[in-house]
Formats: sequence, C-alpha cells, structure tokens
Amino acid sequence: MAAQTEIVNATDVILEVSTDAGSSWDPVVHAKTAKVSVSHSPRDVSTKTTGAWRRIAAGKKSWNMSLGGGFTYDGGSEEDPVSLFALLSAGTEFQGRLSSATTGDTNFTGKVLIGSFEIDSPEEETNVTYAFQLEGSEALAASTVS
Amino acid sequence: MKGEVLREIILNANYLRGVQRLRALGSEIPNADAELIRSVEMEGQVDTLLAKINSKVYPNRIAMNQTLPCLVYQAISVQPNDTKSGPSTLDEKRWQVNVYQAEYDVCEEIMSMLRVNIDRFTGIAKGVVIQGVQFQDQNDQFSDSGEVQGISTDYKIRAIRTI
Repeated sequence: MAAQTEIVNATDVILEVSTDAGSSWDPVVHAKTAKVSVSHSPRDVSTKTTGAWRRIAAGKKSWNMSLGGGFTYDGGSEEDPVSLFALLSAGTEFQGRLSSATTGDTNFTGKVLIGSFEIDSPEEETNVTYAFQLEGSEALAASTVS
Repeated sequence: MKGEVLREIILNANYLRGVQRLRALGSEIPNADAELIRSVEMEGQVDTLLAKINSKVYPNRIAMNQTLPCLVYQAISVQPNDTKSGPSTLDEKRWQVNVYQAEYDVCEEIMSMLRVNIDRFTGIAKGVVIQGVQFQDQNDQFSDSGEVQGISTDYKIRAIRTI
C-alpha cells in the first residue's frame, strides 16, 4: 500500500513509547499533541578563498519528541505520565516513535531520555494537563509502516 | 450527558452528596449503610429548594398549564475532550437553568438555593460520573407585561462519557 498523498489527519499520527526495545509499543494516555523536531547545526567551512558568502558542510544533527495531553494517574492499558516520570527519575533510556496507522506511511523512531516533564493544574473546573519532552539519542530512523 | 442527569443533580444534589459520603464510609459503618442512606434521602425530600419549586423542573419548555415557580433547563454547548486514542471520554457541557415566578425576590431566593445546592457538586447522577459542576453566569429575564419575572443561570458540568 502506498503512502498517503493527501494532507494527513493529525488523529492518525500519534507518539508511542516502548520500554522493551521496540517489541511492543504503547500510546500515552489522553495525549492530545505529538511532535518531532529535528535540528541540524552545519559546520562553517569558509576560507580566505570562499569569498563573501559563508560556506557550510554537514554537522551535528539532533532531535527531540514532545507530547502533551490530559493528565491522569493510571493509564490502564496505555502508558501514563506517572510511569514515564519513573523512567525520568531512574534515568532510563527507552524508545519513542511518531507513528502512523496507515501502511506505506513513515514512522520516525529512536532512543530517548526524558528531558522535561510538566504537570499543570490551572484554575478550578478545568483539565489538569501534562507535557513531556523526549530528547533523542543517536539517530532518528525513518521506516515504512508495513 | 442527558438533561435528566442535570435534573437529578438539581433535585437531589444534597442527597447524592450524602450517599457518596456514606459509601465512602461504608467499611467503617457495617450493616448501617442502607438505613443511613434512607435517612439522608428523607432529609433530601424536605429540601427547601424542592419545596419552593415543588419538583417542577422541565427541559426546554414549561409544561402546559403549570403554576409558577418552576425551573427550565436547556443545553447550550458541549466541549468534548478528544485525544489521540479516541473520542472524548470527558465532556464539558454548558447548561442554562432558568426560574420563572411573578415575584423577582422569589426568583432570586430559588436561584440562590440552586447555586448553593449544585455549584461544585461532584458525584454520580443517574449513573453518570460528574467530575464537577461550576456556576458560570447569571442574568435577569422578564415579560414585557411584567407578569412574569425570571433569572437565567449558566452552569458548566464536567461529565465522564462512557464509550
């Protein structure tokens, strides 16, 4: 099956985590947002002979994932913020994946450590929310959903 | 959340609160639970708000040939909380509750009682888990002839939605 060609529905792209090296994947409970950000810091290789314009070459790449949603203490069959906090406390590396449910689309997968965690309890009678930033370690791999 | 859930909260908020408290204490008062719940129910039946409106609480329109005062409620809007995993399991619904009566003072008294009874209510009504009820707004209503006075109040209700 070919990848989707129309603008993708955000409902279909979710962030999942795996604590068993990718054997099983779980979404994070009540998640509303999922995001992958990739950065590249090119090296400046300008010399006396390259003229007025900077010349660059490939440099360090880095990436992170972030997600947020409605906070709860027990995610049932899904990963919950409390369990993820335990991974943060222990400094445990696990895997993160921005995944699509459609065959032929692309999953983005890599090893992560939790870089930040936030619980926000705003004014009364509104939702308590959570937010995580997962810092990528080593390469972010793109693979076709099969 | 259906209107009958709001009606249940309006009429029985104190009773439902009492049941909730007693059930939480259930393990500490063995064999007395049912009796205590009945006593709370009796207390609910003589609630002054109930006496004022004589249990006349209607959805959308006042039933024909009814005497005042009475309460009328209607749904204004609903804000779902969809997630990546599926449709909303927690809806925030805004309801409007109006009271009508010839004397404005009576309207004020009833609405004040209503607010005391249901604002910040949490519990189970008609099997629906209510995370919270919150008073939002209030304004006056009146007929041009001046024969009927009214007060309109808005409440936000957070209800767990079973799917």
